[in-house]
Amino acid sequence: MKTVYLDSNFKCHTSDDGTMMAIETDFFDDKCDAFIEGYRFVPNGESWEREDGRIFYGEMISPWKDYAQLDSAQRDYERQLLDEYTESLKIMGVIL
Amino acid sequence: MIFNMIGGGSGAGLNFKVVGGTAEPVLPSENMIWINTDVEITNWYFSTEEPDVVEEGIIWIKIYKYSTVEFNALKENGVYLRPLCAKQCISGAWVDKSAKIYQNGEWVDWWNGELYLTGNEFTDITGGWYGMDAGLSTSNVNITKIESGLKLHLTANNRKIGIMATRKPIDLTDYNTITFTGYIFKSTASTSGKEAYGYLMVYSDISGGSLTQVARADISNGGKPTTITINVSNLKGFYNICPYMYSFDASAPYMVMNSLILS
Repeated sequence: MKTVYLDSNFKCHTSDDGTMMAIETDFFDDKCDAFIEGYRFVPNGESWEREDGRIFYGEMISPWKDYAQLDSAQRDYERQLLDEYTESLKIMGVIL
Repeated sequence: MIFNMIGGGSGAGLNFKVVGGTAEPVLPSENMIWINTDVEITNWYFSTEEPDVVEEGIIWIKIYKYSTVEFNALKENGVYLRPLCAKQCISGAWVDKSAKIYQNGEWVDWWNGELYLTGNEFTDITGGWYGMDAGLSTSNVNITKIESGLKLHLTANNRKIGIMATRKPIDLTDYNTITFTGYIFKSTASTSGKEAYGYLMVYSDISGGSLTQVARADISNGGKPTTITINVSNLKGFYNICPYMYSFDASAPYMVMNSLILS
């Protein structure tokens, strides 16, 4: 589970500026900050109105940024993690 | 009232007409396209992408593979068009308009974003619906057709997760929302005291063998029928749209989908 912070427009943040609502969710497990901050999380009992007037009721989690960008950021993050793990294993003398 | 009739005619070699009006035309001809509008149609375009021309009254008929009403646009030779939906330019903005085409003696509705609507799995688009568990196995999950929709239930007492899926991923590029109607139900009293719950999940293409959540909305509603809409306006490309159920107790819970519609 991760704690994320929601602004007044239900956009997700990874740190609280003092005005945000904290929520816990498993949706962003193993996800990098850039991925998380491209999402909107409408909690149960809340609703969000889109620019065209359409209203969505929580709980709803969906990207507010182009998902392709978020996916790219997440893949870069995972590649970086893999590189770090590989380097750590080399230092320990593990032959891959 | 019909006030427009443009396009078509033997001289042009076209095999269709586009008409506008708020009443169904009384003298239809094969491949007549009726756009339900009270704004005069000044011209029409068939294209996959929004036309560059922005003129009051023009109709843009989007053509796309998901259309269920293909027709030959020419009297001789063949240029087959697959109309999906119609929009009209009104005050500088594209406005959705309902449309029908007259084929084989009847007015035929265009596909309206349905992925499932009681009794119809729209197999041309979805490939049909099936059930699976969290490991993508179909062994312990059954889907049956019932009067009100599709019912998914778990067949083994130690199974907790059931997922409905289409055999083909769906292209969400031109769609903004997905709306699910249905319910989650547990058939016997919960020994844990915890209710079964469900989500409308959007996964990256599962044909790669994994379930990667891209978006989701809660469809639990305490076991009562619910209609839930999820915003997918920032998802472009192919995704799997899957009603998902989780039961804490092995007490034969089930999930019913009455409809699933893109818009």
